[in-house]
Amino acid sequence: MSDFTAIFDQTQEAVRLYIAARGIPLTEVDDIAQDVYVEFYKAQDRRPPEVEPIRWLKGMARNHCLRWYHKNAQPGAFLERLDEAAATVSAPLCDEHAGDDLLLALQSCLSRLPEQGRGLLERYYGDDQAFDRTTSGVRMAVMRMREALRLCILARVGKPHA
Amino acid sequence: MSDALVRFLADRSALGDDDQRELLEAMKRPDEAVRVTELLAVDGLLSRALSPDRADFRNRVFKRIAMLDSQRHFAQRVVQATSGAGRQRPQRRERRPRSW
Repeated sequence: MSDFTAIFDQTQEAVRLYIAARGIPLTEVDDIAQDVYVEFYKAQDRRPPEVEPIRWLKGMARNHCLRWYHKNAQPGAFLERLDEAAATVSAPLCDEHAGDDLLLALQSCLSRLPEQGRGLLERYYGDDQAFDRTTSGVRMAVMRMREALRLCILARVGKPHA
Repeated sequence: MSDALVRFLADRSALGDDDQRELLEAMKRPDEAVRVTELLAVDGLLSRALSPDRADFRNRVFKRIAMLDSQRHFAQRVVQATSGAGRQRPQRRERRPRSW
């Protein structure tokens, strides 16, 4: 159990991020990640010692995402094609960082946003049921901030690109 | 910034066939494939940082593992108990010779 706990603590942010980057809806990401860790716990001895836990876990996460795509034809079929297209490139932000460092970079980048923008993101991603997330103005504003945060995070973690 | 991408980031099920085709076409360009993947990751990071629902992930995983362990222990105890019962099964009484 203690080995498992150490591996869990070192990898869980990266695994959850990996699943989110495969296009899985955010409400499903942690359920899939939970299944990944439970399966990993049940069969820890199947991992060859030369394979790093994070690589093994990402492989398992990929299989769980594929299963999710197949179980949820809408939007699964489209997401699977999107995932295939994404698999042909390496996205530094997702492939080269542990997750924890990206969260730290995000916090730092968030603190540099104007208060109004930060407040909008907090309401958009928070649990405020009364907040209307569907208006095109809100969606566009959030999208612009995602783009700005992406570039800010890349600059913080040392992999800036266009 | 395409409308399709904005709607997709807001709702993974929002796109119709034409928009899906447009996004898949855009993903053929490596720089766009990287950008879309990273935007999905940033979406995940923002949700991770700002959504209170996602804060108890560790507890949820360890609760499931504790349940799994307790089921395993229960199953082991059942197996031990039944195999033990097999060993301790009273021997059949020898038949007494009939005394006619």
